[in-house]
Amino acid sequence: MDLKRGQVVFSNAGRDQGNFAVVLEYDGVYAQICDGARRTLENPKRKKQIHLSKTLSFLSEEEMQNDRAIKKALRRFYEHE
Amino acid sequence: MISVKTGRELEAMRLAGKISARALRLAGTMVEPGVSTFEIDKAIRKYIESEGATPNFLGYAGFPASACISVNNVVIHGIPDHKTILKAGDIVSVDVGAFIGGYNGDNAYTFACGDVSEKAKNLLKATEESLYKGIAQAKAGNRIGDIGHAVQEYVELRGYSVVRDYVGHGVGAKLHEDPSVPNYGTPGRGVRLVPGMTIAIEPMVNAGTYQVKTLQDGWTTVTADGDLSAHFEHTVAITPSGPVILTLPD
Repeated sequence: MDLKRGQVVFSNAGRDQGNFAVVLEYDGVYAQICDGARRTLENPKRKKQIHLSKTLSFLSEEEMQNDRAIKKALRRFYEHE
Repeated sequence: MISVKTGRELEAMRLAGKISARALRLAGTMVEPGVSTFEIDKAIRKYIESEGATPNFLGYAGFPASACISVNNVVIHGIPDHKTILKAGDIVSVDVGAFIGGYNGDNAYTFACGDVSEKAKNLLKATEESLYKGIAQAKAGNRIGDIGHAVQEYVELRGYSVVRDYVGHGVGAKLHEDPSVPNYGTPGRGVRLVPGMTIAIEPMVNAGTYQVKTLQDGWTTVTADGDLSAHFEHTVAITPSGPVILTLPD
């Protein structure tokens, strides 16, 4: 799986299972992901790519400039709850 | 703006269609009493990813799963979860698509879980047949209205109704493109069909009223009168020699 910075991903395993987050970095095996709330830019979650599903949605750099922006941008992924 | 696909693009869409169709087929094998819709969705996601593709529903406008799984009176956009456990007599619509090679596929089928009532069987049969009536009209030179009219006429003659609030759509590099493909219409009206167009024809048919409403979760759409609803869909290419179904598993 090829993940890019800004790609919105879905967690399939772990305590964040079922949540969406954005990729900050990806080294081919591990992705640093952040949701702007529980997992901030300062403290991202290191997640193995096999525990993630990629979506076709991306956030812009503007939407990723701080935790608040990320949380806001990901809100549309939770509007059903 | 409607996009027309070249031969090579159609081949790419055929691949996306094949994976979408295989995902749907896999879902069908899992529809049994006792299975949760979450498990079916998980299997669909794993299969699509195993093919190097991406489930195009996941995250689309924030949709939280890889497939819409809609049971009985749920028309479309049912969200798979642990709590929804299938039982004998249910009719289960699965709508799923895969994105690969830059292109999308989109298809749907309503499965019977165990033994279902005669009423349900008849609804499923009529809805599936109406899809093929619509596909038969999807030829170069016809108009979008010809497709919708064929579906509507077939369904209404049998005492059912077509959902108005949701329609089929163009498919290509994006999951939803122009044109809209309603399941109702006037023959000879609407966008002209030309070779290279790729559209998803998807009759949503209700046993009772055509009216639907969306629940508070912002997604789940149910029949206004609580009666059953069925949904069948194929992605179809318009070619000089007639309609070609792209969402075939083989």
